[in-house]
Amino acid sequence: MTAEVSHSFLLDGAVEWSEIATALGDLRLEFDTEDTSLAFCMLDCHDQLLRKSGRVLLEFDDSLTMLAAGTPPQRQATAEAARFPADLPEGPVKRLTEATFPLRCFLAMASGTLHRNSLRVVDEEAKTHLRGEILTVGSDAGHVTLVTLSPLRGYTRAPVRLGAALLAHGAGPLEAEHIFTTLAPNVPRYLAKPKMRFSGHETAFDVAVETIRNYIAVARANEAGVIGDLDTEFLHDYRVALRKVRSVLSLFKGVFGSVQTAELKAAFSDLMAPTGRVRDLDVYLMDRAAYDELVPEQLRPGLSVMFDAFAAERDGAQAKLVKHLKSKGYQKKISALEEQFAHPDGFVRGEAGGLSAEVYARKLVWKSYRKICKIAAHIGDDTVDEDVHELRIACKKFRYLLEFFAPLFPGKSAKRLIKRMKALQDTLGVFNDCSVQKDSLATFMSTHPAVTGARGLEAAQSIGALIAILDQRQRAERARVMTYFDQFYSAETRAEIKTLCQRKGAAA
Amino acid sequence: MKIIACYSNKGGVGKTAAAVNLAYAYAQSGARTLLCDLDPQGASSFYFRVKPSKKLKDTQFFEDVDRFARAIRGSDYENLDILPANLTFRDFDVFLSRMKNSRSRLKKALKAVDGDYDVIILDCPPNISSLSEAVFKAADRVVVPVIPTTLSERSFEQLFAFFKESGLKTAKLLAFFSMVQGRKTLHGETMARLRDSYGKLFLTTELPFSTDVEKMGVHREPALCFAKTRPAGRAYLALFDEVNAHVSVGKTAVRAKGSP
Repeated sequence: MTAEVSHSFLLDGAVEWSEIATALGDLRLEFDTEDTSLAFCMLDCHDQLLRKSGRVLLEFDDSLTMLAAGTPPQRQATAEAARFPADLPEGPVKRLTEATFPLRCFLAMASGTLHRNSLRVVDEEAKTHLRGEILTVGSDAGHVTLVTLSPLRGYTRAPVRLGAALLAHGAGPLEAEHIFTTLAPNVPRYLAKPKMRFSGHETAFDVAVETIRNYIAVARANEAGVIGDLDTEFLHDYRVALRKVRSVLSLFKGVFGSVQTAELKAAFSDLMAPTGRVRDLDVYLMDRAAYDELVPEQLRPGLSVMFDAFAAERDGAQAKLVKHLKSKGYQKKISALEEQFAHPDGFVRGEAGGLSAEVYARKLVWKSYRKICKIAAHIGDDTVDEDVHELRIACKKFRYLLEFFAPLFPGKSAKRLIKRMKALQDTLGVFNDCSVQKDSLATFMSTHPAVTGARGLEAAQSIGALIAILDQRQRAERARVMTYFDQFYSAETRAEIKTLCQRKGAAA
Repeated sequence: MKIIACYSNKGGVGKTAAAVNLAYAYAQSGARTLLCDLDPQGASSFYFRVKPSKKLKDTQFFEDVDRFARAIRGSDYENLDILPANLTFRDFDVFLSRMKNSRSRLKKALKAVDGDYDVIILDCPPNISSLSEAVFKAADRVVVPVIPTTLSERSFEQLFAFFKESGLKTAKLLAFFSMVQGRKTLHGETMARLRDSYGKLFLTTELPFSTDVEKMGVHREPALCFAKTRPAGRAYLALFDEVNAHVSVGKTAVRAKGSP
């Protein structure tokens, strides 16, 4: 096989092309004299998944160009008003982005002007062996020069020689991170699950404050996207962040004073309350195709009565949510909370606040684990649904604690345990979703004004069928719970949790 | 994937020019196209400035899928690759059947290098004996240029008879008049006679005798590149439309181009 060849290079400063031409031997370097100036956008999603995977996506000249070190540039046509990967015409960029972030919209991370020059490497008969592009990409913040090579099939010498010559004359490999920070230095990094680092000397209070502070920042980073209604994941991340804050408040018992805890819980609960309905409706509307798949074809028109009602309701709920997020009241509240957690000295601490975070973490994780054991002791295939729900909640709390405290535990032990719980939690999640959906569909059917008259009857039949299917699905998941639970609750897991929690003689 | 063979049992009739311009026209239409230069003179490769592959002279070539895939060269035009074969044709039928069999190693090797083609154009050498019937069998259509002269008429009759004798479908034959000179009475009469005898086997397009076709050797590019709006260029486009109407690569090509 041929050696790995780089296809994209980053130029820092000027490159002596005449010297590079000399290095090509019997091949000749030719430039297109035409220098095209074009408007460009650098695209990514809010999670910056392209940046994180070392890719740069540029939109210019009605096309999308995906660059990454080590692979040839991929190019395809763009579509006017394409907001999501799914809106793009078929092509390599669509395939990649749709697989990477199907639910997220494209965001312009930087924009400005791009200069494009073309080059060719030809032989003595003027046959092209390699094409290349020199892109000088400039935003308000800075500019980078990129050289991309597109070898022609069957011609291997030219890319190897030109690549080597470029590297020898000041070019470096393409670094997405460098390009991103040069063109868009003011776009902050975004992590829906912020990585926290603890030294081990923190108190439980410190960890709680740091975790909450981080998640408030995540919530705030999503506000603009929710207000702009850009994609469903802004609201999802916003809610998950606030839910994490609330979990810290309820799981980290005794870290804040009891009145302080109650006040904070109420404050965050108030923040989250206006977001619930939009998210519920988003979930329904996103799954519309899947729901349609569940029922026989003749029942689908009945379902659209419901989905149309949901879509209409969402418009109203979203408008209300935007009003809420833009309101002075909300801005004041969240800024105040942000401020409080930035200067945590003002908090009333509880009796556990001063404990070593590590000791506290072990204690909490162990306690939470014991709770699971207690439920496990009397759970079986014939246990009532309520107990399964109880198990689900206990498992969820256990996982949250592991997540929050993961940086305090040695190596990847916490991560490993989280992974081991995944199958069980997924099943419990589906079990719960079915249960919640059944209830809400039943409520919709009995109370919603859309379910009246002839169309209403049609809708009721379809929804009834859907409820029956969800019920079956719930039972099927229920039947799996014990299998996955036994897998998780193995002697190995138990031993691992014991080691994790009982180091240095921590509480048992 | 469709296979179009350009074939004539008589030399110097514009066969390679037709193959080169058809391949170019297919590539321009968005179809991923492979032009196989099977004529030992390597004229197709010459027109595209691709050097004949030294590696591909031995028959072992057809056994070695990777070597085959590696021998393919990108042309200077989008969607158009060239196989500068320069080889003997003992195993040519094996090669074609492998191209057509989606599970064959050859097909997989091409897929692996993103070279799964919508259409393959064969520029065949000008005699029947060295080309097996299997080539005619494998091809979806056999495009045959015919100069409207008595000698060419005879050659076409021989080819037609060969198809009949060998039990090949004569409907695969797509003949067209090449190097037509409007002022020559003989040309006019021959064309009328052949159209009368063979009916639909002859396409309506008539390739005029043109210096633009000869100039391909100077420019070393398809006439469609430098003389698209001139009579020869227009005739090649019409030929492409007519051939494609029979082969209908169109569907795949549109998909390959990536319409939403």
